[in-house]
Amino acid sequence: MPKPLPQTSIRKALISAVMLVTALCLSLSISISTYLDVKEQKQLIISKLNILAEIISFNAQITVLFDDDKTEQERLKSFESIPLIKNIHIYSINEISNKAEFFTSFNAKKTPPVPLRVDSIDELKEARITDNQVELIKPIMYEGEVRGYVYIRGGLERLNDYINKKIIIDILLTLFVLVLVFFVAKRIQKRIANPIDDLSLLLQDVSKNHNYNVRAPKTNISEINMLASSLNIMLTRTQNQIERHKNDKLEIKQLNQSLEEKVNQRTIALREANQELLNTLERMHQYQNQIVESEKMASLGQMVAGVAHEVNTPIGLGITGSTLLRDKLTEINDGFEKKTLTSTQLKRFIDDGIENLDLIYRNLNRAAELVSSFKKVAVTQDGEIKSAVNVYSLISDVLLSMRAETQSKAPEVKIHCPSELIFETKVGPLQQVLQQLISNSVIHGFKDNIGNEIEFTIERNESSLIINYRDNGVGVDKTIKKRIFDPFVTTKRGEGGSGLGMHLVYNLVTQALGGNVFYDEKDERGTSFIITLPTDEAKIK
Amino acid sequence: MRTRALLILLICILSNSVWAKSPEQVKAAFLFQMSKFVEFNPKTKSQAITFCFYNLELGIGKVLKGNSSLKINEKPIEVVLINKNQQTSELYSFCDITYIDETLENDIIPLWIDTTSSDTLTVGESISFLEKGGIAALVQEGNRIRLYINKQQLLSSNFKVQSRLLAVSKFHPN
Repeated sequence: MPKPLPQTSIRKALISAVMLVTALCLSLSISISTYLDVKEQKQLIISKLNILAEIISFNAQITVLFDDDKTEQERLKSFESIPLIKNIHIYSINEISNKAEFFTSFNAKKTPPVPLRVDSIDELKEARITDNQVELIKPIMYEGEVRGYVYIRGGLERLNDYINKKIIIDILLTLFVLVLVFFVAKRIQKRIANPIDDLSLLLQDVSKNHNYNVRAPKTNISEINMLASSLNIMLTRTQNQIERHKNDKLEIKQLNQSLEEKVNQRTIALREANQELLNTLERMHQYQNQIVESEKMASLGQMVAGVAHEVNTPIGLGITGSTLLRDKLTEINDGFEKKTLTSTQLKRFIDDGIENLDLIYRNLNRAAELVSSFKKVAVTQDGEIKSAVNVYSLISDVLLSMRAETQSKAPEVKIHCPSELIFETKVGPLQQVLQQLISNSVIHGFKDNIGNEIEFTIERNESSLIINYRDNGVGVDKTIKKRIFDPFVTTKRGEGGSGLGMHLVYNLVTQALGGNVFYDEKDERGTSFIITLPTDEAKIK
Repeated sequence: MRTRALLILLICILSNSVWAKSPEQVKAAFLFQMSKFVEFNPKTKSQAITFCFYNLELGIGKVLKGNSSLKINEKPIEVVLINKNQQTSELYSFCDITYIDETLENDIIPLWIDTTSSDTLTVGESISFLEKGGIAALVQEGNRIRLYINKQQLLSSNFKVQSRLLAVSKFHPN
């Protein structure tokens, strides 16, 4: 909490300051003048004593010269009328010893004699002032020779009396001046403080009652007039400011009302726009569903077209073969009924029949395989039950079952997998996936029969099991890289490829096994696929 | 050590004997000093202040003769021997101060009284000298020499005596 400032009033401060300054000035002035006066008085006394000593010295020349101490003593009595002089000694120089010796003296009335100062002549050549006296010694010179000395002692009682009187007078004068100054300061203070009080009351009125219409009156003090003038200007400006503020407030209120209306209008407009957007969105959803349906239909149509295209060839060939066989059979039948059938014709018919039937069989078989493949693609694996399997053994078993297929290309298979790695999964789909990958490598990847490699790298982490499959074959054609998992995408169309292998892999991994598979385009040496199976599906032990 | 002590004692005794002044010496000094406070008539006198004595072999005359290099107000002094038989007019012509010791007072004074000049200061050694018409006398009173002046004779003289000298003088008669 801040310390409260000491409070005072202008009246008190003014009077105190004036009184203090006056008292200080008077004290200083009186002190200095008293000091100088005392100094001057002392100097005057010394000067006077010097003059008297000179006179006595001059007069004593002859008495000392003629050794007339009585005459000198009589003469010195004349100094009784000078109160300053307390004691006078005259010393003469002894011609034999050349030392000063007492000649004669004078003591003022009621003044005891003082001891001889013949031993202090040198010291007292300059006046010596002590508490209550001044002493000095002057030589008595005659024709350039010292004939003796005059010792004179003056009293300072009168000076002390003078100083005491002066101090009393100065104190009385100071008191008188202070009283005078007090009344003058009081009068000046009234003249100054009253207008300030008036101003203060006016400001209180303004602050309490918010009465900005009042104005400070003029006074006979220019500074306060200046203050009052500035205050009046401030009050006028404040009044104007308040007026402006009121107007602004009114304007703001009107603007607010207008703004609220505008906001309401805009809100309604926005609400309508929003509704329109919702309707549009609804329509868009409908369109989207329609598009999805269309896409589905298109996809289905495409798939049907693919199926039709694939199945059409063997069936067409089968139809052609059966048609040709029926024509041959009609021809043979005609010959048989007409008894024109020759053994050559029959033999040719039998050969052609066998050839046609082989053709029909092959094509029907082909059609049956295709249908079987379609079935595999379409079949759901939900029925499969999960079981724990050793990954390394599973891969080895798959390779063993495909020995006949892989024999021609004789790939070297590397399996980087811990032998104890076991996880729970649907074995059938995973086995199918591995078979399809190996089959693709053998059919599409390896062009030569030597130097072929297949590599399995199995990794595991906290959340998944990763199967990295890679071969060093020719790799995937650039044209189908982006569509590798789409159905009927193949570079071996007409050569036995249906284009459903990788589509089957994709479906099995994503749907049956719940994982994901992607083609690793970074590996440029062959073909590489990365299959990731989640841990909830593959429980690592 | 003993020799040295004796030597110091001897020096002290000798010095005391040298510095101790005889009444003649004191009187000679007084005479010399008082002449400084006398303003002689300059028109009639030569530059030097002339002290006339009847005897220069003894007393004050001898002392002053021995210190003839002294000066009074920057004027040299001249010590002159005069004869009893000399005319007072002669005395007047060159003596500023004429000193008559006590032994000659009886012989010389009567001769003077009528003929003495008012330009020469006559100084004797007794009160009776003043009574006989002398102007000043250096009278021994105890161990002091006191200057006496005959005011009446002084007033009739042509020289002036400064008041400072008069202040330390006694007047006789009166």
